[in-house]
Amino acid sequence: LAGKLITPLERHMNALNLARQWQASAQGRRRNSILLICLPLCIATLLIIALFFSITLALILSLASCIALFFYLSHTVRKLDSAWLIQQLDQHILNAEDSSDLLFKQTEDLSSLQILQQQRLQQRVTQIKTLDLRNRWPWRTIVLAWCFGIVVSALALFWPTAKTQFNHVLASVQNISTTPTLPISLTEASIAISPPTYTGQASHTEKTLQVKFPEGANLRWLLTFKSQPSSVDLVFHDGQHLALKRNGDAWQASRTFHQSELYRILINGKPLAEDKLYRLDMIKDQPPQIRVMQPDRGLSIIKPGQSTWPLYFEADDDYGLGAANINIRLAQGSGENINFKEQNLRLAGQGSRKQKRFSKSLDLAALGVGAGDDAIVQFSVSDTHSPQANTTRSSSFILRWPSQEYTEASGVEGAIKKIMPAYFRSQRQIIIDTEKLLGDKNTLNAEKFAIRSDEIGVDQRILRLRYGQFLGEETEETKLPTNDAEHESDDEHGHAEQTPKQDLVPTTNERTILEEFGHTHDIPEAATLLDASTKKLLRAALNEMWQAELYLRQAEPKKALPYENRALGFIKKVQQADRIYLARTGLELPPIDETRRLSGERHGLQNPSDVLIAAEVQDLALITFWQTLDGLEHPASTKTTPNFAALRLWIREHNARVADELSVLAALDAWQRQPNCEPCRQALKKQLWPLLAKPPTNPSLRPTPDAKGQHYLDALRKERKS
Amino acid sequence: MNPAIVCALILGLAVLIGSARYLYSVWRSEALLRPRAARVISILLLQALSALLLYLLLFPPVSYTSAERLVILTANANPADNSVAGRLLALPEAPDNIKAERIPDLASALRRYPGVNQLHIIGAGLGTRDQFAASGLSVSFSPSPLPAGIVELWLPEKITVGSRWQIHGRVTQKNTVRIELLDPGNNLAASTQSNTQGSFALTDTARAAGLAMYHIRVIDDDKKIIDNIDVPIHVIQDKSLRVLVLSGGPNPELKYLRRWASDAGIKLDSQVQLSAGMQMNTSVVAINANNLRALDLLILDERAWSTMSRGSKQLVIDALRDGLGVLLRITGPVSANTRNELRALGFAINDANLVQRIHLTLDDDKKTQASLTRRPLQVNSRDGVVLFQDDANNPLALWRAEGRGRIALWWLTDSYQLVLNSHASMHGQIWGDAVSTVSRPRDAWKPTMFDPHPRVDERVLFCDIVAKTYVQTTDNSIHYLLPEKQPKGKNCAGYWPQTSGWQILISGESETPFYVRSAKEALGLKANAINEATQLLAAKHSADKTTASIPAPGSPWPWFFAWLIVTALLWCLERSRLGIR
Repeated sequence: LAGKLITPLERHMNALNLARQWQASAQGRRRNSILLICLPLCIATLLIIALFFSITLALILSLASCIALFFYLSHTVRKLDSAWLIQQLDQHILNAEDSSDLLFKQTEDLSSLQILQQQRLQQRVTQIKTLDLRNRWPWRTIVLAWCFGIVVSALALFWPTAKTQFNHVLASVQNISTTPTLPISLTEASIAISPPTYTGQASHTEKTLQVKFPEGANLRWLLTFKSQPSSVDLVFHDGQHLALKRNGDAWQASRTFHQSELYRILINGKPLAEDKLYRLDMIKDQPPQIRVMQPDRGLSIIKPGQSTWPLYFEADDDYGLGAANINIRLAQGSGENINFKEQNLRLAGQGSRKQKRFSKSLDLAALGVGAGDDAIVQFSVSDTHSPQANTTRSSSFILRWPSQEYTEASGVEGAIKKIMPAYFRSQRQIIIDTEKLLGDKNTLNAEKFAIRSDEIGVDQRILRLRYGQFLGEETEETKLPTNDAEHESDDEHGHAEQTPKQDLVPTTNERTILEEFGHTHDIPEAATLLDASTKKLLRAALNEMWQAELYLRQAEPKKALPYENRALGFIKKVQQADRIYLARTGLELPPIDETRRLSGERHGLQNPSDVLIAAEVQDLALITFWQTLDGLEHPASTKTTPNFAALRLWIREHNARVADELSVLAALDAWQRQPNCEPCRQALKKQLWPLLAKPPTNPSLRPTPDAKGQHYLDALRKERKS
Repeated sequence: MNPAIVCALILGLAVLIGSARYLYSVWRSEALLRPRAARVISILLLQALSALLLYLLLFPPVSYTSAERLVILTANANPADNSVAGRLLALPEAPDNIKAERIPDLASALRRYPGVNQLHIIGAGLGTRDQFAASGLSVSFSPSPLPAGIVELWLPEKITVGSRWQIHGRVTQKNTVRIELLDPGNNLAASTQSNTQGSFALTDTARAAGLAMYHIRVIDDDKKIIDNIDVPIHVIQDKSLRVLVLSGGPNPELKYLRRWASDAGIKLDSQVQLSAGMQMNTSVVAINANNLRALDLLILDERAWSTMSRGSKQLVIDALRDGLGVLLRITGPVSANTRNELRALGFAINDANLVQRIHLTLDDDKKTQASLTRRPLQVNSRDGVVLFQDDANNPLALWRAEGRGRIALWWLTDSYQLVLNSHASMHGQIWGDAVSTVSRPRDAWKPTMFDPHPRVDERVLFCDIVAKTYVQTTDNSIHYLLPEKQPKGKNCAGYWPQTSGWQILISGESETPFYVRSAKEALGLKANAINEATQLLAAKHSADKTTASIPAPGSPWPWFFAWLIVTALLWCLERSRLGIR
């Protein structure tokens, strides 16, 4: 019944489809068996290549082998074609009667007998339904191949030298997997520089990441990226972060800088693919420069009939000049009685903002300059730097109106400029004080009177010492009263007055020590500065001072007063001869206990401590770093990791010694990031070398002679003995 | 026992045993089968002959051939220069365009042409590979000119921190050229002019311990850089010395000496007499044998010496003979007693009428501004060595070896003036030299390296190394050395560096960094080294051997064929039944 319902064509198709199904499953079986055999062998081979040669080669080979396998498979599968199927059908279908080929032929091409036979065949085939034309699984070969593959792969993986390779391969594989599909790269970068307003410079934008900017400028970064990162930061060499904010496609941030910086860009917390440090070099605001044209010398002597003093100077600055001043000091009087008057004049200059000329003519009469006076001017110019302007002062210029009594000694100009005036009481002041003390005598008790008298004595002594310097102190020891005399005459008044002063006032013996070892001879020209007659006058003045001091110390200011007056008279005469410039006070040694001096008393003596401290090595951080830097060069020595933090701290502390701090820091950073980079290390060594100071010469150890050498030395000694 | 004798003995034994065995078998054989006497005798004879021929095959007798001369072309050789008759051979270094027989090395050439007794070398000279092969032959050499630039460079053996070191060298230029020393920061450290011999010396001060790479460049009159050479410098921080200073009184000299010593890392103790019973001490170090043994150097002045007890003096002298360094500063008049004691120690001191003001030579040209003072003494010592001298070559200090130690006498009284006149480094230098020279020998043993300029792929010889010695290179690879026990007892090993750059020889506790130059750099140094070695060979064997015939190893081939025939004959005879009844 069923046969009747099926048309011949359908039957034909059914039979054909069945046969084709059988063929397809046979083809699948063959393909799968080949794959199962090839797979372990391929994996093992590729593993060996990847581990011992290169991963790229392995990748290329795997691609090649895939293609080869594909072609091989299609070739072998194609072998199971219709001819093969016909043969198989003839074999497997018992009543096929060797005519299976008729199944695959079109009815139209066949003779009627053939059609009959074809129909019979179709019937038989459709009746069979299941026919297994598949080859059996080649189990033995598959198992063998897998065993072989596993053993070889295991060997390759656990081969001693493969370890690192394996890690390498793993790492590269991980790299491949972690690298984002679209690398974030900088497409546009610019920095807008807004200099501080006082500079008068216009804001401008530079299309680079490394700029030079004026001190105090505000820098604004504008970065755009190919694909948007989640965060962008700038990290400066001192560890500061500056986060950029997103604004549309662009990332921006700004900051004001007062020093040079190095920075790198971090994207999502990671440096850019091209990890580079960028320099921000600050251009420091230079203080103004002053060039004084007139007067053309430090000390000018007034010309006869001169009524004005023309002053002319130029100044320039890198950004702009601010206020200019002339400081005028008038020194009036002579000797030790000099009054100073000071006034400031503001000047308006001519010229451009950056360069100006200033001129002023001082009216000497209006200033009140008279004979024997000095007018001293000093120019100062500020720039417009904010918040605090840089101010430059010129050196001082003196206009001298010589007094008629004396003529200026030549060569004094140098002394005037070098030696600062000393601050001590003048002889006139001592006289005034003494007179005042005498006036107050009635209101004071004896003790206070003595103390005040003694104080004036101290002043007198200091003044005497100052003047004494100009004589080289030869006179003092011969002519002046000794300490013993002072003590003898002191007996009546008791020691009470003297003892509290002992800390303050060095006694005579100590004074001689001071004069011998102290500052007296520090001014070798002092003794030759004055001519013989002046020296004589000065010596006389000193003698009078001695006497005055003696009586002041003895609380007899009344007796001292005539000596003081005579000293003043002599000094006046000296002043007529010359001007005297005094040096500042020198060192003061502790007093010597006179009571024990030369007594042979040794009680209580103890050895002084001798604390000899070696110079502190300030560059320890640098030196240690230098050595660890070398330590990597000889790896066997105890390896200490270079202390980068300590070196950075050292550089910050000693930046005056570091000419180009940013270069050193950049080199340091480069090597820290790539410790194996030999050129980076060399570059760092090159940067650090100039910073190394020259240490004191260290002695070297003498080489130990070998056994033979020692025998020789011993034999030599025996020879000498005999 | 040499192999020839061993071989002869074995062969003789084999012949004896073989013959005995054969005779025994003949004797035991049945009378009917017993071979004839003629057969027996010929087998025995042939056997012996075969052994003899085998011996001669292995050790062919020396044959006398007529002497031959080889003309060897080396690098830079120009065969046109050749005026000597002989077989022309070219080493691999010889220029490519030369028409001569190529040989891989000299030893191969000598094997190929036995009977050579004269060599004529043309070109740069024989490298280390061929020098050994040439020894024992009569060598003549016509050298090619050296390359322009630096051909000699002598670095100081040891540079300590802060010391002034000097490099000596030579350039080929006979006219004066400017030589500049650039420090590792590429700044000019020193510069000088070469003299007419081409020699020069450059000085710099060592900084922190470590490795530093200086450069020397040679600049001619046209400001052109002729040559450029790396100068590897290894600055060493030595272990600190222990020094005791004894002084009869404080003075500025002592102050600056102590200042320098403590800054230069010396462990310093000092005892300064102030008055009777009063001393200024850093710490109290009693003079006894133990303390003196711990000391490396004792610096004392004549006042401290004369106030020492007799026993203490003897202790010091004993310690001196045991290795202690003693430096005696003469700062004032010397008593007769002290003079006698010093005479016993090998110094004869006499007062002399000498100018006390002296100057020191600072560098090569300038004199110090500071005039220094010496004691007017004439010090004579039979075996005294000058420690340092003034610019007129008058000694200011002498030292001599006494036992295992050294004692120095120093009669410059105010070296501190150098410090005051801003020559502190000079002050440190003279005292550093003095302390280094006189102090107890304490430097640890170190391996010796024979090549001053090791080079990639050329052998470096290290001696005095321990069994486990290796070289570590910058890329952390380790090369173990195989020490060869030499008859002199020096453990030596050869090393062929593979990479250039700093490498370090680690032998036991000691670490010696050395710098390996790449094959291409400092070619002048290499050319000169080869040239000098070849000149030396030529000088050693210049006595011309005019013998017409010289012994040469004979050929083994005739003996081989003879042996083969005899042995074949023997075999045939043994196989045949000839002579068997």
